[in-house]
Amino acid sequence: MHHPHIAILAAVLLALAPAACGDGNGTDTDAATDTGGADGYPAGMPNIAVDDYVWTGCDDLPPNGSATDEMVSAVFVVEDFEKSFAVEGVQLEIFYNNDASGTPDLDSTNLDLTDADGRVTALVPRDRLIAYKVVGGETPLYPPGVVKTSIEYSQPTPDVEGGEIDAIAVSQATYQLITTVLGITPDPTMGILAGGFDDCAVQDIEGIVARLYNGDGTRCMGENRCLDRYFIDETPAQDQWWSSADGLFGVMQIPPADDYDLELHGIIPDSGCPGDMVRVGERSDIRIIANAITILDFTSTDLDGGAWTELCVW
Amino acid sequence: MHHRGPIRLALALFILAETTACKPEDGDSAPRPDLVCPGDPSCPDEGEAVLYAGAAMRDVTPEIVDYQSVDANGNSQFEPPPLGDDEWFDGNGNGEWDFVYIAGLGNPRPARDVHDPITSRVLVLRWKSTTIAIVSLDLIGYFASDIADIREAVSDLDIDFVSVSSTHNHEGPDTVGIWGMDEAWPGWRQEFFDTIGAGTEAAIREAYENMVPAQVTYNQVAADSHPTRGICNVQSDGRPPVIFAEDLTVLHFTGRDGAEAIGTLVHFTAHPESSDDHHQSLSADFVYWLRMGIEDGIDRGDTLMPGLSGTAVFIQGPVGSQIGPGDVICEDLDGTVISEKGFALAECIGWNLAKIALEAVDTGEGPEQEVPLEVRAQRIELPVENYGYHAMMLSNIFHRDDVHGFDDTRPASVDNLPWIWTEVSWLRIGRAQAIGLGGEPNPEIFFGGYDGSRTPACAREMLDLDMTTLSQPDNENPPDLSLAPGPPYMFDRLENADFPMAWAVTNDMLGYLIPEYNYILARPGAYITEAPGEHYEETNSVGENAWPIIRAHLVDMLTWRP
Repeated sequence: MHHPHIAILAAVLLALAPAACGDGNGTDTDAATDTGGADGYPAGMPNIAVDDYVWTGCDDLPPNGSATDEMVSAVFVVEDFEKSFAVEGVQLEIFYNNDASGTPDLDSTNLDLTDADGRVTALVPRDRLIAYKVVGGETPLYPPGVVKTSIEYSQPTPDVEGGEIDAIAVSQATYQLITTVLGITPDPTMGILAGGFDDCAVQDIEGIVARLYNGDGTRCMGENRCLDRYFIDETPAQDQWWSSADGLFGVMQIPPADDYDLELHGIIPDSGCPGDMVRVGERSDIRIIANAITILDFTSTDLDGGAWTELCVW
Repeated sequence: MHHRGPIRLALALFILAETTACKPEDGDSAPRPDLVCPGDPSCPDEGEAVLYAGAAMRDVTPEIVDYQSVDANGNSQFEPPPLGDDEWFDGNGNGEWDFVYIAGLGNPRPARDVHDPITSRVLVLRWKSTTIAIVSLDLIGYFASDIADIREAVSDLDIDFVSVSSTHNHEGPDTVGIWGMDEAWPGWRQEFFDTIGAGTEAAIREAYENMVPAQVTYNQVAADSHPTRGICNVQSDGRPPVIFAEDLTVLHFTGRDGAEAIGTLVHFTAHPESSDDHHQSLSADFVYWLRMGIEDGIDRGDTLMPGLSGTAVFIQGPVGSQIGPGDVICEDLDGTVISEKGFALAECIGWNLAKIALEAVDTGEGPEQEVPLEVRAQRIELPVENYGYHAMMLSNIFHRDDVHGFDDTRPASVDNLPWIWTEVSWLRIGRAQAIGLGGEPNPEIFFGGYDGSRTPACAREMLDLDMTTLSQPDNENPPDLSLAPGPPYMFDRLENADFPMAWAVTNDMLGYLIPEYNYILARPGAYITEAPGEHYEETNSVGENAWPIIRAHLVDMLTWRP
């Protein structure tokens, strides 16, 4: 039997977000997928090959937007997450402050649906980072190709009139496929977080693990809860316990909430940190919606020559 | 994932079973199979010692309602806007793609027309109180749960065992599910199963009603009669170790006076995918011409041979290691040499095999009228370790409803694996015997050949094989034949089998079945990516423990004694 490849996640994890340098809350005393490594980290976890990555000198990213910023007319171009075709009929909500937890600044009262080319025009803060939410629509491809609710953070807006903002829509089929390939029966009461991690040269980083924390700083974990999973060649893999060369990660079975913190950890030799475990990325106040996917991409923490010890996990 | 307890347990159980079953003298300790005929109450060893045989055939081609009307880039795949510029015809006007997706190669490949019909062919045989129906479907595979529906439909007949094989046709409708629009939308439609089920039921009933006193002529020959290319004229082996399955077996049934043709069971090993995927026509591939030649005769080139009439029933052999048309360069009976895949190659292979089959019947042993029947069957459970398969099951892409033993509130893992039911069987038809199993086993499972004795000279030369590995020299991860199992192989365990056969894709569809010494998974990335070398088949197998478990049950079944 010749099997069509289960090509899953296209490389459409889009713009690069700054890794917030948080306070390292959360205590890593256990792991939802305890595979035997020290302190709940998977056994055999490789070092991050520091020398192979560009850790400093990332382009400066703009700040989060606000409703008082100078506005610019921009065109959102919505493509399918897996197959990259333009998606018509999508309703967007826009959050100028890059926080999808509150009331959107733009919604169906002042935004059209995407047209046949997946495009819709909106006024957004000039040269800022914003978040958007896909709240409905139907792909023209697969009946009944329902577009899942999704959130993506930290999309840069253009500095010029008429510039474009890349956006994605996730089909029900893709959403289901991600979960089921990971051996998880899709649970409509839970959400998914997914993203990618790369360096300042946009090179995907191998060897990171994702840790999700509740708003109170405790680790989100438990029986079938907040399961971190990874990919190989952009395909979900049940036996991959840290990011592979594609830099992708996911957290599955997340109860809905507005205040999750995500940390990306990795082993950096001679970092000066205990166990050389370094928090290489972090983002706070992440919203997870039931039966939906939240997308969050990182670049490396731009150290600007700073010491790794500032980012120790412990 | 490092929790290996259940796997170790399964292996331990297998090793225990194998150790026990390897000793023929210990056969008494093997468990009694679920079905034993003669012997069970339904089939006592009594009654008229006369072979009865009947045959029938039905066209079970699904109706093509919707089809692709424009193939803008000519790739035989459906890419509508926004993926491409292909167009489609909505035959029933419901706005949905009610295609007949073709299974087995590239997808999505919706059928536009019918090159030759998809058929269900049946032989029903009776000896004393034992009656078996042998069904062959021109399909990629048919899951055990769907086969149960066929059996239920004819449960009112006095048939002890209905054996349902698929020819593993790669040019027929998708009854498995993974060749639809993409991995998230199944290729099957319920109408397929309605049509196939009804047609097969009708064929079984007709064959059953038509049974008459019969006799059989047997033969088993190597299909290597081409003067220069030998077996490579009709078969190749795509995965090392390169071990061919050259035998073509025929069982030709006629009425007792020899005048009335009933049918011919023909058994050979090759993926029916010679016509490839550069078309959108339903077909039985080379099997169509093979059966036509047997039934109606051959008039091609200098070859003029009368047909045998009756119904030809093709049963697929151990196609596991990509036994098929891969490297075949075929000289047709009219002298045309075909080196590219396409219908011409399918026709070439089919006619050549038909000629070999007709000659085999002509020179066969018989007719014989003393044809005792025996059947054993055992239902077994298999863990589904392939997490690509988990996705297909959890998404209902696979058309099987027997998944069990799985807590779907927790992720699938080695601690929480889905299980399925499958079946192994053994048939004795007089001097012929057939082991039936629901996947694509490697041929060496049945007869070894690790010493190169089953590697024909044509393949050695064509592939420049390293005979220490039966692999091409540039294979970065060749099989370690020092680890390959020694005898007894499965055919060695058959007693008095003058004509042994391995019926693949029979009574289930499990994907590839690979001997454990050469079952190599990518780590990590098992089942999703391929290990270095030639290890595609592992990604399309139930799991690493499937074959060991099946083998243990087969050994038990073959060594069990009343």
